[in-house]
Amino acid sequence: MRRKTKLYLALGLCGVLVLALTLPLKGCLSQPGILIGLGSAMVGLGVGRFALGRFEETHPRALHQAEIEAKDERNQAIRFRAQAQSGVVLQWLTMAAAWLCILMDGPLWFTLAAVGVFTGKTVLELGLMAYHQQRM
Amino acid sequence: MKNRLEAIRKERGVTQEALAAALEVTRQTISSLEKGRYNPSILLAFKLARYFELRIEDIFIYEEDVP
Repeated sequence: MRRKTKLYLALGLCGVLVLALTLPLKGCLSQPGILIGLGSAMVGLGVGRFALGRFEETHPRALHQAEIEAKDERNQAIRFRAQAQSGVVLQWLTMAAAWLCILMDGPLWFTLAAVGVFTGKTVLELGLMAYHQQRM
Repeated sequence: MKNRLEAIRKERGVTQEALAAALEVTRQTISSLEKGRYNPSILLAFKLARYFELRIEDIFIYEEDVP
């Protein structure tokens, strides 16, 4: 077993320990939810990454294939295009929701929030365009 | 952009899988290239040319040059 995989297992076990400590310390802590959240996150991350690490160790060919598929330039182009298109669709759906809210006499905060998201996306897009124009 | 990839590959007796493995791309990418549905990056075009020991223009045909 690789060192990194062992570390993730240890993290998962620490998470179980943190969760187990929640019960006896319940009375002493003002916010026991923090311990539960922290423990759950550690267990989730640790066990998840441990399982992935074990899979990688036992199936090296599958790992190599997954790496190829992730780095494949056509796959990357497909992914980037899909991400860009979904971003545009979501942006205009947000604007449509704002208009719908105005027409249906909905709450002002929702309209403002929707317009804010739309504007934020546009500003971010312009900023990223300027950044990439300088780099390319 | 048209290409002669499928013809060259078959001429050399190389499978799509073997070519994909050698170039570290997926078999689907090779298939898309052969069908002309995907134009490769200049890096992949160079890799292909080097693999077959040809020039890029021996594999890929610029549309204006198509008779």
